[in-house]
Amino acid sequence: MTRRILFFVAAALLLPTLALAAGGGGHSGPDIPGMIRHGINFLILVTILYFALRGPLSDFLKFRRAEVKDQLDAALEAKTTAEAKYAELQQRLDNFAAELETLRETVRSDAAAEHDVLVANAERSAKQLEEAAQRTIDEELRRARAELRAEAVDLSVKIAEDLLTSNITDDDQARLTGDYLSRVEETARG
Amino acid sequence: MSTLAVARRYATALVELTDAEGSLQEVEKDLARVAALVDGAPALADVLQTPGFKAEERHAVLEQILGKLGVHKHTRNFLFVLNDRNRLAALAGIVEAFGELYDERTGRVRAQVTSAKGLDAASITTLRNHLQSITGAKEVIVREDVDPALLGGIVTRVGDLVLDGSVRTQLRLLRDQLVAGQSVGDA
Repeated sequence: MTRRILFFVAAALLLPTLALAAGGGGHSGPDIPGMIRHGINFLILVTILYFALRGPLSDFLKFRRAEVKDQLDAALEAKTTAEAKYAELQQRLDNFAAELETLRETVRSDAAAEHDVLVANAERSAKQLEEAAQRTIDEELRRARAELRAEAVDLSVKIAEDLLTSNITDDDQARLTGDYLSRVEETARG
Repeated sequence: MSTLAVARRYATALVELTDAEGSLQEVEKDLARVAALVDGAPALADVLQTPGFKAEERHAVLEQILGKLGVHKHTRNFLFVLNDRNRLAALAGIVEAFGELYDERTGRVRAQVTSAKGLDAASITTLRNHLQSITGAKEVIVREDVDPALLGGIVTRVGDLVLDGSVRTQLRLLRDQLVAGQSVGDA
């Protein structure tokens, strides 16, 4: 690599020299000493360039080599990952039908379970409503019966009072007084 | 001070005095007579208890009445004190409070006897004797009242004690049993 660079640098420097030498065709012959002088100058320049550029260029090339190597490694890793992903997707695609069927079965099962729960809840609510309604009916019935009974009793008592008021005699009053005095006497005796 | 408190205070003072002097019973009877007289004569009550007459005029009226009734000197002096202090309007309350204090001191109780028809004397006497046994009182004063609404039977009240033998109450109990759905005689 280094040799190739040196070659190109030397060629680049020598070409103008050759051109100048060719341009001098108007004279009697090639200017050999001039060419030697230019050649020496060129060699000196090349030597200077070689020693001046040898370190940085080497570093640059090492850095560039490492960079390219990292890029290659990264590309290789990406390729490996992509292949794995591809393989996974391919497998999933292969299993998609089975998964789809499993999913359908799960959905059907969940729906059936939810249906059962909803039906059970609805039945329980209906039963509670029915029981509450029955309790209300029973309570209203009991209250109505009690009111009817109270009205009937009040009416009966009122009739009894009227009968007593009109029919009770002095003898009855005397007997009631006697009974009362007897009970008070019993109370007095303890 | 309320009328009740005033009556109680005067009554207590009179009871203390007459009990100490040994004239408690006589003064109690005097006060009952005077109270009955005033209660039965609205014109006399007006003279004694309204501020339209001067204390001297009321004193003169009292002098004549008490002279005719021949009351004890403690009764006489007490009524004159009430007149001087313009407290004759509280006489009824004082007599009632005096009666209660007298009852406490002498072991006397008062019974309110209510019947559908008036009771004969023998029944009253029998009832009084029984009440005396029940309460342990030395004397039972019976005040009789007639209330046809009882339908029949008697109701006696002695303090907090109530002996209810009225037909009205029996009918009410019967009604309560029937409404409660119990068979008659269950309770």
